[in-house]
Amino acid sequence: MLEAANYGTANNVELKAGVERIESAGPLAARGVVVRIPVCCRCFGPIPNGRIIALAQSLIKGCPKLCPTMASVLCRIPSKAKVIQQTLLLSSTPSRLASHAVAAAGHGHHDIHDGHSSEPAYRYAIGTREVVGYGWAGDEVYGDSIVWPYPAIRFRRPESVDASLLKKEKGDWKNLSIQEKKDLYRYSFCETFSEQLAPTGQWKSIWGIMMFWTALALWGFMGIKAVYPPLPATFTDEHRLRMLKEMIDMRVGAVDGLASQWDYEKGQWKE
Amino acid sequence: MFSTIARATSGVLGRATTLRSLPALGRLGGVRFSHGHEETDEEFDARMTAFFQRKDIDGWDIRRGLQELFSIDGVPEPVTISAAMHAMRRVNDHALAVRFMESLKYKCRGMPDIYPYLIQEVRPTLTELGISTPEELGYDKPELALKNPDDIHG
Repeated sequence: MLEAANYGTANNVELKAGVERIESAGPLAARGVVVRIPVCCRCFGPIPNGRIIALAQSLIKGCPKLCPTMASVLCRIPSKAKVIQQTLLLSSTPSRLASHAVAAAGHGHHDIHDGHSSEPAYRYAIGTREVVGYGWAGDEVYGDSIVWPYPAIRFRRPESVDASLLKKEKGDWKNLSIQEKKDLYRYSFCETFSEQLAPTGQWKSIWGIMMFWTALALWGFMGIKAVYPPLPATFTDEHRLRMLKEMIDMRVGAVDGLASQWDYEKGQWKE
Repeated sequence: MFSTIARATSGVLGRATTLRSLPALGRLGGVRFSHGHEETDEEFDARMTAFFQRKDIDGWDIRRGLQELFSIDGVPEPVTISAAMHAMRRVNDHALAVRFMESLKYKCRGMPDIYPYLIQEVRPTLTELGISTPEELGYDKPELALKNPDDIHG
């Protein structure tokens, strides 16, 4: 319902001029004037004559822009379809297929800034903080780092500190008390160097966790060792030597492999 | 200009007063490595001092200059430090001066004699401008603690 309220029947001059321009616009490039043509949300075709039809359902869903054809297709009860006079210049939703346009009648510059402020994008992130430098990489972010001691923005907002203190900073610094100087520092910076370099004790938790997993692994090893039977006799060195002798006697790998390394005349390994 | 890092890693050599630094960076804001000509220590000092002595310097440029001072393998001369302090006075930023001194102390961390010497040399400037050192503010020890967001075990 709120969507429909934006589209009202307007009798003002701009609307008439806009509607006339739509009706009289030929090929857009040739005309030199590009106007914002409303596009049907369902069929994506242009809505002629600026007559937008809305169905009750689409009004609720907030998508009221339907061409008459689509409205008649979707709505089996024609009386439920509502004709909404399109106010071209007041519409803030850009059509999906038509190009973003500079509408006529003197509203050109205003339209393309709909929804965008003149502030830079970072202002949304940092609020009213003062940008003071280049920082780490040129972005207006704050970060404490001992290798980048001078961040791009101050840490706190100007509202969080007394305006009188900032004014006092402009005067003689000998008049600042120690606490005021500390407040000024905390206004611009979050952590001091000594706080950044202070030990965290994190090694204790890491050490403890590693010991836990090591102990678990040792327990697992002992448990597996306990349930496994002893190794078979074939694992002993004597048995393996016997197997090796049998392999040599059988000429295993006589061409390239094992037996080729054995000198049968001398009864020893080749050089 | 003192080259601290080379000395810190080869501690057996003891301390020298000056040392030829690494190939210097280019002009602040200009070409980084000019062909052929290596900037000497004195030229670097003179350039940075003159940079901070500009009357129209603003906070942005001061931070650029301080960052370049910080990025070299060395510690600035007291003359340069004083010029930077005066520049900070001109832009009315006392916190930056404290941060600068903290960064100097960090720079000299391998050779603990240098930082007291530097402070002693720039003490006239500090008293003239009314700048407190981090030690006077109590920031040589941690005052507050911040939980490290990367510390997942804490």
